[in-house]
Amino acid sequence: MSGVPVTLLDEHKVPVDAWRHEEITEKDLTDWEANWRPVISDLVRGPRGANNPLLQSRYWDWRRKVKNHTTLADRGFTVVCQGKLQGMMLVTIGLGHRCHLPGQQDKDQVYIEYLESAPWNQRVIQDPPKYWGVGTALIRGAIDLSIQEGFKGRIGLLSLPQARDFYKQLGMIELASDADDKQLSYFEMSEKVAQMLLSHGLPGGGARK
Amino acid sequence: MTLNLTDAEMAVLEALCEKKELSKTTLIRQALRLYQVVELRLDKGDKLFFEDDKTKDKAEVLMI
Repeated sequence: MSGVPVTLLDEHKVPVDAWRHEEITEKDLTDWEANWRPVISDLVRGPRGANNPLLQSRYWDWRRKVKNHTTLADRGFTVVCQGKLQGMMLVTIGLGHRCHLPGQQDKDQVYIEYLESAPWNQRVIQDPPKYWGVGTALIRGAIDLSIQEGFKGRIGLLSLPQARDFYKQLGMIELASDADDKQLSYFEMSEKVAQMLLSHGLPGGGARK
Repeated sequence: MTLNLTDAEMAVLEALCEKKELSKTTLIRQALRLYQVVELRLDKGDKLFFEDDKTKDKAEVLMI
């Protein structure tokens, strides 16, 4: 399966080669079930239990999500390093998802429905993470797709509380809380910041592409 | 693939492209995606409505 080469950083901040693919395959879902879920289950059974505030995506069923996102407007992405799944993302291209940021209001965007790094890559679970830059690599995939579709890099998403700092660090603007769930915040990236991210990498450093 | 559009259809296509700052190909892709999603929902038995943001009145979009 062809993909885009990306660079992650390992726990010692040494560059590591990885791949970003623009589909989520059965192999990826099997990898998720076999490798991510047991780690998450152990955390749920751990001392802080199911209410662990670090496990805000613990109920995410990627197999069901992929099954429910099979139209032309849906795209899946993965990041794979050394043959193992490190991150997944599902996006919707346009389809009524419009921007709210001044300067790009009402323009179409690529909307990130779900984005998750493997639990060993999440600093709130494992510090230092096994790999840095998985989330950024996925976001760059969404930006690339936005540009291909003529949306000039515009992307948006609803963020879980534990990820808000990550999206702010990327230069995304937090605009509002979700009307139905006040814990979720809507973030949007401007065309200008998207171009900067592609050209210069993460503001303040971090893994590129 | 060659697309044969009337003058009126072409005018709408060009106006939408200008409004949304999209190429014709991209816009038609978007239209196709939207059509597919609408069809899938209708096939499930769902109905398509527009809602007036101020009054919250709903008007069904009849799909025949």
